[in-house]
Amino acid sequence: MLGELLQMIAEGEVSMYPSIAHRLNISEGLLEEMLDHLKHDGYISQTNNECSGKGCAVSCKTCSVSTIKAAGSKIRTWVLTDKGIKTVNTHINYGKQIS
Amino acid sequence: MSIEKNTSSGTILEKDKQVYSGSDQQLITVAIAGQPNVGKSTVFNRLTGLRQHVGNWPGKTVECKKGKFNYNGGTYRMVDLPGNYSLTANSPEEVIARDFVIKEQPDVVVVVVNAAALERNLYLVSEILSLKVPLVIALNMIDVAEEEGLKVDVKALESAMGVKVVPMVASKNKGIHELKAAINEIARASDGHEPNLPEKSTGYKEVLTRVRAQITGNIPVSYSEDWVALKLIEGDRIITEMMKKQLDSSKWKLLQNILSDSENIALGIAGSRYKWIGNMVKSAVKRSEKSQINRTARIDRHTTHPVRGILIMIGVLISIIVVGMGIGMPVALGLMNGTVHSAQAAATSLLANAPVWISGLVVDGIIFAIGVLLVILVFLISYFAMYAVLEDIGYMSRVAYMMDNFMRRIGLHGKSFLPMFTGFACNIPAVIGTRVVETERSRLMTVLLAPFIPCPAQIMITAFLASIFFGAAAPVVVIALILLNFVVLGLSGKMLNRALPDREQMRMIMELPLYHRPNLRTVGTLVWQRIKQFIIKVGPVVLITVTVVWALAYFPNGDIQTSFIARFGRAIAPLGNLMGLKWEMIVALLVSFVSREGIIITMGMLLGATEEGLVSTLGTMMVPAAALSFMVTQMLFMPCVGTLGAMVEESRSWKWPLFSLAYFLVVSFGMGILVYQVARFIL
Repeated sequence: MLGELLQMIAEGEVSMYPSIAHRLNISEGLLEEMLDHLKHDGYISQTNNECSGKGCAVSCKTCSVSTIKAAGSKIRTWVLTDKGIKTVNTHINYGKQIS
Repeated sequence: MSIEKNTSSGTILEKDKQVYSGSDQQLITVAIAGQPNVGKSTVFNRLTGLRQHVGNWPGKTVECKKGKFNYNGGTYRMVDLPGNYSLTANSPEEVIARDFVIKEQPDVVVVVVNAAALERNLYLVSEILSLKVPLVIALNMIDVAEEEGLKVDVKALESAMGVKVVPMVASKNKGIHELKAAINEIARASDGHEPNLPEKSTGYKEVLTRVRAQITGNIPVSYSEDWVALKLIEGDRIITEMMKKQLDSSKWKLLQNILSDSENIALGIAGSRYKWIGNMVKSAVKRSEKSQINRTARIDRHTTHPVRGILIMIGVLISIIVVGMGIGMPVALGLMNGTVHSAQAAATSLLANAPVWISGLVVDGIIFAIGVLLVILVFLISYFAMYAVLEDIGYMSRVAYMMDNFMRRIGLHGKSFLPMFTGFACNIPAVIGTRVVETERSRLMTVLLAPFIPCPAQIMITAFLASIFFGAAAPVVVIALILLNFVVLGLSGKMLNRALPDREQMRMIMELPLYHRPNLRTVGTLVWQRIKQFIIKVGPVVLITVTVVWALAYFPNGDIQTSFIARFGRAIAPLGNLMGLKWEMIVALLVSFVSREGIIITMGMLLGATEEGLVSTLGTMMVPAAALSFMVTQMLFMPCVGTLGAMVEESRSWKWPLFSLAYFLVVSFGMGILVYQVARFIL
């Protein structure tokens, strides 16, 4: 099931929790656990609308990034790591390469 | 099984299970395991009371708690294992817990799980099951689960797992007696229990057989072959090192080859555990209608529906515009008719003896511009407030979800629409907000496409003109033009996606958080931040623009028809002719590059009309087709100078923003000409 999830992220056809959970026939809660597991094992990494804040002429208080975060909608986003891409290419896709 | 026999000479460890009569008592060892924050310590304390001892695990700095309780003629030695999420070798706590279970072989392992978070807690259970130890599940926090609208069918869970389950609320001392009874029952059970284990895939069975062939006969005492093989396949660091020492070099090399070809099997093993967890939860957990998750799911059935979701989104947008206009218009008219006109009258009186050009600049330029800015602020406050509420309740991520398919067609993720959506409030924070987009390429594309989202000034001007020329159909015209912007955005995005190098696939997923009530403080902060940003960034630009435009319209000799701006306007009049527009309207369009809000001011200045007079002047000097052409052009017009500055900052170059300016100029005028040439035969 984790392999299927990695494959779905890799193929990029569905990109939101409800669609993915529906495809895998699991709850979004379980999907979150699986994503945490893949993150822990280094297959995916999480972004949280973070900003380095470096080299920026705009004050953080007025920056849209901080307002998107401040809106309280903790939108977690996940991306495949190099390990994740390699795993999909080598072991899951069985010949269908992704870059 | 091991028991300790208390005699007068001390303690001895015996391997066989025996029952002693008389003053000697049977001692049963029970390990308590569980993830952090499931109430494990509470369960331990309730079971043992004050009969506990705290120390450290041998050779470790990790705390070790032991205690005892008596039940049904037996003494139960409790060992509180460190809290951990799994039995891998990632932390000293995990190693301690599994080493105790493997080497000390407790009579019973009690796993405490949080009934309100079963999906999170059952992974540890699935791993402990592979150790084949007698197990009891202490299903704690049943009350919390009920509060969250979760109903756990204990019997169904027991049946599905093949393991004894005891519902509890340890913090209120509920279920403790039942837990003791369950521990007693399992410890004394003569037949082996048969839990339902996660399924093994065919691939896993094959690799397991091959690995076992290499390690058979070389496993240290107390470890099971199957479990060691499983851990080797999972790449467990400690077990791998252990077996490296146990095996000779040729067997080790063979084993390494088998394991390196089987990396995906480890993923499959973990996946089968999650499948097992999913099945367990499905069989035993029901959510009531009142749970927050269900409320979100019920709302999302509509807001993320392929058809209803889009209609809701359009409806939300229309409501924002209509409510904004409904609240803003009376206040705006009151401001203009009252405050601004009074200020102009007062300034005229004060500057009666001043040179005409100073009086004109102050009264018709600066005060008028401040008045228009105040009017725009009134609209913006209501727009910003409504957007802030949408952001705070969690609706924005649904917008990203609904736009995901559209964005993917142009090579972007739905998340890129989040900063773009802010463009409906102002394009400057929309461009700055592209920092949340993950990759450089996607970020650049979002920066270049964000200005296609019409800002409130653009929508207001469109609504203003649409109400003059199209009456009751004005809202339809406004919505149609916004949709046209999206069509052009889509087509431009597709071309950009093809043109930019390093096309990337969107290997990214995003969650939809639960809806929650808006926090007024957060909303207020968001509105204030955006208003402040607008005043600081846009205010001075508008005032400078007005001053410059007024000067160009006044000099050299105070007659607008022979002014510098008129000469420029007449030079580009042929362009206006293609769109059915007089040169004054083209100049007003070009001024909008400096300040969108400046369009109305410039029109008023160049046409010599006041606010009220502007309506009738525009109505007589343009035909509907020309007005439509003007609206289309200004909706698609090049980004304002503030947005351009943000684009330069975010793309860290001038090349792309300047390309964007040229592109928008060509597209906007091109569309304007096309619309006029077609519409003049229809309207």
